[in-house]
Amino acid sequence: MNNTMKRHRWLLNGGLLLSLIVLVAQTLAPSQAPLTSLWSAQAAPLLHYSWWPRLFMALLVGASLGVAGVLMQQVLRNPLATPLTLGVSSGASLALMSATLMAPSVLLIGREWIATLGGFAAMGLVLMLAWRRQLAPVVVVLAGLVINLYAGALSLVLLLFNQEALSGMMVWGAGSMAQNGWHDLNFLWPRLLGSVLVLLLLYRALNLLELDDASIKSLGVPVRPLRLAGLGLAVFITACSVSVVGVIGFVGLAAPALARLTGARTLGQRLWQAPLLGALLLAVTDQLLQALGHLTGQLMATGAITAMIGAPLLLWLLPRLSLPASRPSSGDASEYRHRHPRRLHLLILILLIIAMVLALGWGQLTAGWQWSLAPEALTWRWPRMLGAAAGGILLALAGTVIQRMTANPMASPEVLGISSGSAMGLMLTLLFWRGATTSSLIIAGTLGALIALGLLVALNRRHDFQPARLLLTGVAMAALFDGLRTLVLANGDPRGQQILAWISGSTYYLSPTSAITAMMLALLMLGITLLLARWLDIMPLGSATASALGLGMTQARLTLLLLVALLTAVATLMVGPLSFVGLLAPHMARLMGWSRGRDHLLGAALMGAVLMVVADWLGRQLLFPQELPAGIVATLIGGLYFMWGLKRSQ
Amino acid sequence: MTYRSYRFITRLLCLLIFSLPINAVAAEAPAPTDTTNTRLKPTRLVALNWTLAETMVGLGYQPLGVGNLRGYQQWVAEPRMPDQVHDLGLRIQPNLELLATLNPDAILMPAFYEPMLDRLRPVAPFKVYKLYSTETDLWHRLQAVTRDVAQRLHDPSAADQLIHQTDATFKYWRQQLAQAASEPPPVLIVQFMDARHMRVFAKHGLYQLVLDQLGLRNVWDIPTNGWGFSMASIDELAQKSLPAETRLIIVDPMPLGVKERLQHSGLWQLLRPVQQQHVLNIPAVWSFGSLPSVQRFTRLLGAALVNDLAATNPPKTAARPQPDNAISP
Repeated sequence: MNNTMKRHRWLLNGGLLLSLIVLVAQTLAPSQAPLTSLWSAQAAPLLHYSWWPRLFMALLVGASLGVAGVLMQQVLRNPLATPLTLGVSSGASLALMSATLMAPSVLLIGREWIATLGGFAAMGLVLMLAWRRQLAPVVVVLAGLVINLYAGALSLVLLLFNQEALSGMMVWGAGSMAQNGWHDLNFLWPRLLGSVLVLLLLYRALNLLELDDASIKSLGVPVRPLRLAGLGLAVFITACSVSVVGVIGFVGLAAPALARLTGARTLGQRLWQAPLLGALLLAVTDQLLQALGHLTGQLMATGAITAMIGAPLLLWLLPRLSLPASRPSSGDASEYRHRHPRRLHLLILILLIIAMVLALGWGQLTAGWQWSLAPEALTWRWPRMLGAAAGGILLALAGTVIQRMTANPMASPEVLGISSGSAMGLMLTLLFWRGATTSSLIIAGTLGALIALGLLVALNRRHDFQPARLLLTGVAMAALFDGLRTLVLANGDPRGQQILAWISGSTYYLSPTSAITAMMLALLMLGITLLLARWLDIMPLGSATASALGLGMTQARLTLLLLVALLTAVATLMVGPLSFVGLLAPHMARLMGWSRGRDHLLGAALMGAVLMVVADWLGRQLLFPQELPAGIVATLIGGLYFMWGLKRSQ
Repeated sequence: MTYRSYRFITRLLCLLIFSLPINAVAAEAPAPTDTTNTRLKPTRLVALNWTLAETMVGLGYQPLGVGNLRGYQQWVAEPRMPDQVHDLGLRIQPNLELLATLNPDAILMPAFYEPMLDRLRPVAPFKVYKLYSTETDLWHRLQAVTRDVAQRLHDPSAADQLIHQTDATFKYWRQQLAQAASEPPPVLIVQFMDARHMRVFAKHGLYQLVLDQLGLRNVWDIPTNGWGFSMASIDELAQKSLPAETRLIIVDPMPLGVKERLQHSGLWQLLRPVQQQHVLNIPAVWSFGSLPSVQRFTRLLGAALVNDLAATNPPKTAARPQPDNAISP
């Protein structure tokens, strides 16, 4: 068997090399490019200053993202870990945006350095949050996710208010490989070379990370510094590449996954195959785009398009990946259990009512802060308040179900990609249908969610809806959406503002009827979910226990999945796809001590409602007359609580 | 929640709120130059976007409210909007409560804001304008919009005056250009996004409108979007064979640091207009504006070109001094 494996691998590796050679040969073709144009500008200046640096840049960036991906997956022992999981690119992007707006002169020091600084700051926060838990993989990924969402929300706020000033930043965010000299390449390669040297030094120790913590410790290797070094290196590599060409996210996930698929088992094999694959993936995509780009007059940014091409690739890969079948429910933030869950429910309900009354009566107008329950003011306030509460309930329910079902603290409706599907429907309608009305948007959003759900079910049914697989499907869907969004924004269409407004989760477009409908739907869904609460108590125990207790796992999962999709679709239409509440509310409920399925659901729903009502109110009042979308404010408030909870729990 | 946790959260929240540069002003913001519009007549109409607001000011009227007023002062700059005008918040999501309290007679908005129509319906009557699109000629559309806005202000003659004034500006600069050169040079109009990418303006856009009226040829023939520009990187510019006399017009604001980076770019240095020193910088003009912006761009472009032509091929009668990019009034 060993022999066949070896031959198999040889074939694949040979195939890879061959394709690389073919690529280089093919790319030489465009205008009988003489090889001399590589080092001399005389014969063909365009090739010398643009085409060659661009090819090398694509190869270099693809390779470095592949290496960074392998490193992170090794350190975090998580197939979902990517260079972006730690918030590196969102941190870098936030830093660049803030610098552009507040102190543009700082950019003169070098954009690269600002980006690197931001990336490191974001990772520093992630590590700080996970420090007390020995940088355990699940906690690091979770902290990274939170920081990512947080930085993303802050960037969205800046974009909403400064679309014109940040148009250049949006181009950067889409990741373009265009080059006009050797300057950037000369910046990048020495840094990557240095990183490779450090990697060689760390290589033997990193190999040990495949064992569990106790065994590594017994070998006398300090786990925490080792992880820190591995992550630090990965972030540095990512930040360097990203700061030069912009955000190119998908390669860091796809390259290591492809390497694994082609049979790379050991760290050594993955470390040389993933970069090769990454370089190929990016360079081939970029070559194709170069050919297409001139025809359209649009910026066909490689980063965004790679993400969009990579998404179907990942979906195709999914059934072929061998993933850990099930994961024990470990690393959850807290096992604390409240003694009187009912009393706590009542308390939060009272809190919710107080919040609702305050949100209705207290507000700013031209004359400043006023308390008023006059009907003229209320007509504008109550639909948004009610809609926000409904959105909070729906997302909290969806989040609770998916987290308990998959026993994965990273799971949320957004991670499953249903919100992404819905948002894509909205976006395409806004772009291609002039004069789209609210009702047409609702239909488009629902259609998008249904298509995403259909894909989700079709791809995961045969595999029994395994958690890791489900999450990967969601990641692919989110990548597709992200690519589309960044592409639209990068091209500077003034309608980008409208797209931003929708996707950042505002209650702005809610009419009285739609708000009442939403609330009734939310309450109905709450009832249905509570009826299914027993399943949620059993499922985390594993399929063996579940079937022993008479629960058909596949059927139950399918039912719950449908429920989640429905909950998410309705909520997305209400408060946008930025469903941080869906991740947050169940966690907060957990932290507060609701542990049984029924209590957890009800508690999470209440927390979700409180969170959204407060967020919507703050968003409308804080910067009056400018309005911050409720989804963003919820992310900003909730994210803080979440970080605090993560830091507190030991 | 314990006291410590509360303190942690409030501190972080404070930090966050104070660190948000929501209204930060970019350094290259064009300085307002026009102070003639001090005696605007007040109206009870609000304009949700800057193009319509600019039209109203151009007609001599002061809107009741404008979406994102600060952004208007920064990016449209001229004609200047009086500070008494109410800021309605985000252009795309004007504050409904505030709008209702202001109780305007009508709301003017562009067609692509339509998803919020349902929410605006109870506030006031509204008028939706098709401004920028690929469908019909921009110059005719802007004239029609101007006339319609004037109608709503019950002052149709103001539109005639504004249109006439714009025509006169065209005519004046057309003559100036004809005097400066027997055959006006082709142009390429760009605005830098970063050191590698730029918007190149052509068909369907405001700048093209001005080029057409001045009889100037645009060398950019790649399709543009409904707003009249396409995104391009420097290598795409380099692939075009530009006539030697092409003037490369760079519209401000230029992102900081880009000028320095271009010095290092081998490809930029190879561009024909750069080698010939035919690069002209002109101050920022709102690229998606209406007649006032059209006039402003005509003046700035005309002056820049005439100065440059005079400097590069001095007329036989009176030789002019050294190249001077400063714009004469």
